[in-house]
This record gives sequence, C-alpha cells and structure tokens, in this order.
Amino acid sequence: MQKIEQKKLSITLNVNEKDYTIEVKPHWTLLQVIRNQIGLTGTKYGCGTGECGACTVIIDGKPMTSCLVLAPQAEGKKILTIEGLAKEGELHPLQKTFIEQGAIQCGYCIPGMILTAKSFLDKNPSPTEDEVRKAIDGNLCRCTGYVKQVKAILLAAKRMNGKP
Amino acid sequence: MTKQDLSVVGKPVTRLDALEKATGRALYPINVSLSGMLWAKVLRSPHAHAKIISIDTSKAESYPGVEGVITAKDIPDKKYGYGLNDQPMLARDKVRYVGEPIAAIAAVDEDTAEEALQLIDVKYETLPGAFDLEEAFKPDPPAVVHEDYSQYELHFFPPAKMDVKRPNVANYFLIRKGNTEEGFKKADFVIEGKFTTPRQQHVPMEPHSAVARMESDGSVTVWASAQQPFLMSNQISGLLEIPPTKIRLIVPYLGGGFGNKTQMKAEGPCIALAKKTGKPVKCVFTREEVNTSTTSRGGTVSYIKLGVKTDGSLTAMDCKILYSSGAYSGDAFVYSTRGPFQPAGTYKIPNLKEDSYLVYANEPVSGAFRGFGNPELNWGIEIVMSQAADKIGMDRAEFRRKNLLDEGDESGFGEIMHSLGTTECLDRTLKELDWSKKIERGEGVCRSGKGIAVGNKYSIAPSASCATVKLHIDGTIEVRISAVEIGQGSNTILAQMTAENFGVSLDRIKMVVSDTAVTPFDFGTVSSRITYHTGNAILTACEGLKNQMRELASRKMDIRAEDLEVKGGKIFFKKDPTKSIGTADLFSPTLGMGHIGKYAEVGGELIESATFFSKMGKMDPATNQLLNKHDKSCSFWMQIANGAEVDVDIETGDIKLKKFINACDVGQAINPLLVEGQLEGGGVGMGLGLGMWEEMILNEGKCMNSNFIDYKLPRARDLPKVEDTISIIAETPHREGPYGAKGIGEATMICTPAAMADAIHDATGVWHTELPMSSEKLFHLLRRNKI
Repeated sequence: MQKIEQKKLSITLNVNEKDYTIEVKPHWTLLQVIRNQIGLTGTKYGCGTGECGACTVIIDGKPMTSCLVLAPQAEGKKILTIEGLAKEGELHPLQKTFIEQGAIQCGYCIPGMILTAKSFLDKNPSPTEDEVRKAIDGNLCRCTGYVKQVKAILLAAKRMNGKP
Repeated sequence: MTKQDLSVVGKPVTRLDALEKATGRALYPINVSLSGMLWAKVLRSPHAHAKIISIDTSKAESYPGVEGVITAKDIPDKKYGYGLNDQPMLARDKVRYVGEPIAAIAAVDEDTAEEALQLIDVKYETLPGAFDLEEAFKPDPPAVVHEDYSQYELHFFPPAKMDVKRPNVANYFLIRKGNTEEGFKKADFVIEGKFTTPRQQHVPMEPHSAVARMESDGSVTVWASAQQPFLMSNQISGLLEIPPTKIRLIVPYLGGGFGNKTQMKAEGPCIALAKKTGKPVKCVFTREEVNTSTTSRGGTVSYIKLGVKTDGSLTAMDCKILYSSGAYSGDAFVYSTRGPFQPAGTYKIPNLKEDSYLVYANEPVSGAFRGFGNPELNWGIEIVMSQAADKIGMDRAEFRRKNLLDEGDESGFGEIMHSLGTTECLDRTLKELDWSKKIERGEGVCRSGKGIAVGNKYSIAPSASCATVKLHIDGTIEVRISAVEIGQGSNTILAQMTAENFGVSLDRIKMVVSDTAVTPFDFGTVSSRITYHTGNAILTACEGLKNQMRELASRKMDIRAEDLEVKGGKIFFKKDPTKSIGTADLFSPTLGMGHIGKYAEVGGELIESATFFSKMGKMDPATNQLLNKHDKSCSFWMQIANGAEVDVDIETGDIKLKKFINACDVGQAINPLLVEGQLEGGGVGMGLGLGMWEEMILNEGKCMNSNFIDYKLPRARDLPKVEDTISIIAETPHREGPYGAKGIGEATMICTPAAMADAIHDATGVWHTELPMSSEKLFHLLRRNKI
C-alpha cells in the first residue's frame, strides 16, 4: 500500500514567552503540538471538537480551544498555557483561589478553566456571578457542579482588585 | 475520642494534589510518554449485530509505519466480565454492538495508525437486533444476543440466574420479605406507576488512556485508567494468559471515573500490541470512542406498586425493574443485583417484593455508574410515595418521616439498621426549604413549587481493603494503598486519618498509591467505599506500627512497651512525658555517626500491613433475607434527603431551578470541603444532568449524540447560583467507621431526579414518568393535562 507522506513544515511557536522551532505536519492541531512536540501536557485533550474547553489556551489574549487551531496558524502569536501562568514562582490569583476554595477535584478541566477565567477577568475585572457563569459556560467540568469554581473566580477578581 | 479532640480529621484542609493540578504538572495516564513509543488505534464495529465472515488485515500490515496488527486470532480465545465472563477483548465470530472492538493497530504515530485502520477489510453478515428493552426481555425477542450464554464462565458473585423462558435475561435478583399479597389486601389505597430512565454517559473529562511496556523478563508494565487496579489486572491476566505477578499496573491521577474506568478498556489492546511489536504502545480513546464504546449507565423500566393505609403507614411494596445490560454484562451483572438495595434501605416496609432483571440488547455495554442502579429505582419510588401522601391527604414530608427506618428497625434484607442520619437529613432539608410555609402555585404563566425526596445508598459487601504503613527515619509515615485518586480526594482524606492517628501534621505523611508492584490489594475505588474500608485498614496498620515503635523504644529506653505512647513524632513514657525519644532515635547507626545510613535493630523495617474486610451475612437464596439479623447485607448505609424549589413557565415548559438542597449522612466528614465538593458535583452536577437533560439517543443501537453539542451536559449557566446550592453534611458517626466515617460519592445523586419531579409536580400538578424531565417533555405533558 502506497503511503502519501505529507511534507512537514518548520514553524516557530511562541509558548509562554519562549520560542520553539519545530517540524509539524500541516494538519496537526496546536493541541497536539503543544502536548506531543513541545511536551507541555498541562493542556488537555477532552473532545477534539471544541465542545469541552479542556484544551483552552490563551492566544494573543483570547481564550481558544487549541484542538480547533492548526499549529501553523498559531505562528507569530503569543500563546499562554497553564505552565506559563505562574510568574517567578508566584501563582496567579486564580490558581490560589482554585486551590483554597476546593475548586479542583480530578483536575483535568482545570488548566482550561483557569485560562478561560484569566482571559475573562483581564477584560472584566469586576464581574457578577452570572457573567462568570457565562464566561466559563464552554468549559465542562464533570466533578464539581461549578459551585466552587465560580466562587474561586469571584474571589480572585476581588483580590486582583486589591480587596481581601 | 470526641470530635473536639481531633486536629486534622474533620478539618477542611487543602487537597494534597491541588497545587500540581492547578499548575498543569499532575500526571494522568494520557500524559505518559515513553521513548520509542508506538500509537495504537482500535477498529470498531459499524453494526449492532452481525456475523463476522472474514477479516483481512494484509493491506494494513504492509502500510508503511505500521508495526503490528492484532485481531481475535492473535490472542487467546478468552472472555472477561465482572461476575459473568461474556465479553471478548476483540470480537471473534460476531459483533453485538456498534463500537465493539475488532482489531487494533500499532504504528509509529497516531496519523499512521488511523490511516491504516481504514485498510482493514471486514466482511459482515448483518443480523436482526434486539433494541427496545421490553422487546428484548420478551420470551420471543427480535434477536438473541448471546446464544452460548449457558456455557459462559461465572465467577465472583452468586451464580447468575438465567430465565430459560427469556433468552436475553443475563441475570435475575429478588427480594421476598413478608407477604406482599396479604400486605396489599390490608392497604386502604394501592398506588402504581411505570417509570423509565435513559442511558447516561459518565463523561470523565479524561478519555480512557493506557501505555504498556514489555519488560526484559517478560513482564508487562501498564499505566492504566483503572478504578479497580486488581480487577483489571486479573482481567488482563485471564484474557492474555499473563500471570498476575507479571503484570504491573500503575494508576496515576485519573481525570474522572464515575464507574466508567472499572474494567479493562484501552489496556488490553496496548499490551497485546506491545507484546507483538516489542515496543511501548500508547492508546488514547477519542471522545466518540469513550461515549459509544466504553460503558454507560444502562436504561431501565420499572414498575412500582405501593400499599398504604389512611393513617400513613405502608403495608407493602412491589418493585419490578428491567436493567438494560447492553451487549455484554459489563458491571451491570452486579449492578442489577445492587440497584434493588434502594427499596430496602429507607422505609419500614413490612412486606417487600422485588424482581430485578438484567436484559441483553444490541446496545453499548452498561457499566458501573455513580449510584449503581439506585437513582433509577429511587426516582420511581419517591414519586409513588408523594402520590400516596397526596392520596391520603398527608404532608409529603410527614408521610416520609413516619415511615423512615430508625435505629433498630429492619431493612428489606431483615438486618437491624444502625448509625442512620436520615431524620437529620430530612429535617435540615425541610428547614432550608422553609417547608412549613407553603408557596402558592400561582395562576399565571409562572408556577412555583417545592419538592423533596429521600433515599439511601449502600456500600458493597463482601469487600476488602489493605494498607501498609512504614515509618521513615525522619518521622515521615509512608502509606501504601491501592485506592485510586480519581478526583474524589482519597489521598488527602486518607493522609488526614494517618496524620490524626500519629498526632503529626499532614506534611509528615507520604502517600504511595496504586502501583500493583508495590501497593497492597484493594477491592477498588467504587461503591463510595474507600473512606471506610481503606481508612479502616490504614488505622489498623497504624496501630500495629505504633506497637512496633513501642517495642523498639522499650529496648532503647528500658521502659515497658505498654507504658509508652507514640504521638507527635515522639515515643514517650506515659507517666512522665519528659522521658521521650524521637522517631529517628529508633534507628541505629552502623559505622561512625551513621553516614552510610541507620537501620532498625530488629525486623528490617518499621512497617506494618493490615486488612479490613466487610463481610456480607448469609442469606436465604429463596428470599434474600439475612439468616442472622445482626449480620449485614452491605458494608454500611448512607442516608439522603434532597430538596428543590422551582419556577415553571407553563406556556413553554421551561424549568428554573431556584434552590437545590443536598443533604447526606456521611457518618463523620473527614474533610468537609471535599464532602461539599462531592455534594455539589454529584447533586447539581451529575444528578441534575440525569434528571433534566442527559440521554444517549440510540437508533437501532447506534448512538446519535456522541458529542457534547447533541448530548446535553450541565454547564455553569444551567445550574442554580452559588448561594442557592445548599450542601448539608449530616454526621451520625458509624460505629465501625474510621473516626465514625462512612462514605459520600454515590449518595450525592440518588435523590436528585426525584426531588426535581416532586417540585415540578408541586408547581404544575403533572408527574413526569420518563427521565430526563426535559422542558420539551414537560411542555407536552402540560398540554396533555390541559394546563
């Protein structure tokens, strides 16, 4: 059986402020490349069709399901994954509140959930509960019923605004 | 020890795994990657029922990059199951459901494996299928799913009861207590109903993943998606004829389980391909494979009949339930014998008759699912209870309270019940609902209502957990167990118990978890059983280790061992605590000051192992009544009450859940924060999903909604606000539980659908009888009832 070998492209991705030059097939998704080529496995595969949000990363400030982005499309953009969220050993306020509030159970949806919330709070620093729920509506969690996650996001917003 | 004396147990401490999970560092099976690893893909049946005429893999085998292809002829002709061995790892002569594995390929990358899958040529002869549960149950079903049923191997549980007149019945279970005929004669009213529940997806966010590596000595190491590592190890051993001691199963954190990861799934093909190719093999199921080809909660049809007197007492109950098994018995073999515990553990029912049938059909395989057959029965029973209360004109809560099992009452199995928190659950739920204040239903478009439901969840017996604890020289206590951290927080609460027992802080505990080469036996992370069983095993082992420490200290301190106490990292003289030594002093230096290490002078290591076993009492097989009333039908019972407050738009059927209350009796909460997490996730998360939205749509056995757009899961916007989601932790210490604890996980979703049905009825006057109670169904129900 003849196999049609696809030519690989050489691309440079900027992930967590670091450049990675890698060879990829043109149809490989950003999710596959982040996990398998770059080796950052915090970003999760959940459905492969953009319906669960587990693979959410932040691209140029916007939350995107990385399973629906082809790796070459992400060239020249700034990609943030969960591994790049803590700065110099200091956790992001969302990471802290997720930990404190008990918002994490199996933890599989958490990287996507936290990145979605981060991008949301960057735009809407003082949200209502309804706004938070709308923001994370695309991120499925099967463990928590979202209660403690919503609480954690609201608390992080408060703290980021300088309130205790 | 009273609750006030506790310093680590009962405290809402932060999960041990929270930091690594919040930073993306936590290891899950899907993250395991080995050098030179191949990727596997599985070929699955497109037919619900068909004979396999031929399988030609030659094209796939010669495809560049393919390193191995396996079909049934490459593996032993063996079957597996959980009680009944009826399922092949790869279909041999026949396929019985859409999605059944037929062949597997290992290739250099995922793309190549996927491409080569298309090159396998399978010729089928399609057969008529059995699809509808009640049709499949008939003496003359449209198709017989297993012609060779009577030759299958049975193990583990009491023998399957086959109904010779009904060829698709895979198992049968009954309860006979008292005389229901007489009971119904004594009733002033008899209330009856037929209820159905749909097939529900577990949706663990992490798909089933496995990596297998053959070792040079012929053994195999597997990173597995296993809630029950030892069950899976035995299944692999039986299927692939590998001695259990040559299988090392390692289970990292699992991205959810809910019963979906009990039995062997991705692991078998990985091992067979690793054996064939000599290279490590990884397999990650796609979401579609998880949804259609692993397991789901089978659908049910139940018939409930209740006899009641005008004074509110119950005279008899008759329950008949059909559980859909799907194509193989999966965990449903046991499921169909344990769902029937539901009517036995909540109410005083003098005469109880139950008949439970497990029915094969050409549908996806039914598996264990949080609640294990109990929400399915609870929902019908609770509706009938409310209907009975209305009939005799008694308050729905008072009617329930009057009939609740109390301390010393007999369960449906005839056992004496104890350590029950039911009344507390009900009372606190009613208080949160402001029950005595009736709300006006209203006359307008928006109608309001309040609903309640009560129930129980047993935990399985017979069942065993083992634990090993070891003292390290720096005072660290290492705990080795095979409980699996699937998100419920077992590592944290078991560490809390250990820390409490030794009087040390939580950071002195090191958890070594679920590696069958290292950690001792555990029945598995199912049936809400880890807190109680593994917890008890750890505490027994801790006491043994402390004895060893006292013995060793006695030699060094020249004080009798019984006069010494171990606490807070010290061993001290009870009468004079100033006389003490530290844990490091128990070890002796070899040469010099111990720079080549210190050793225990006797015994090699300071290590102790223990077993905790829950025995099930002997039952009369004709009635399933316990021969001795003080024996147990299960390990323990958890009691539950739920409350719901809704607004219904009677023009559209739109249901707004205004408030939800989930009260469970956990014995003692080891970590209230984690218990709350279970109550929220199981109640408004999964329970509401089952009640309101979730349903696998099958068309002649083929799943029509195997994605998250067409299969409606609860999302953040669907659920009540934080302040309207109320979790109640009722604590009635269990006399045999570790620190009085029972369990929680499954109890949380038993009553949710029933409480919702009750509230919707209160608001509208109509009863749902089919789950899920979608707005569309309610719309039609309202029209039919001219509301």
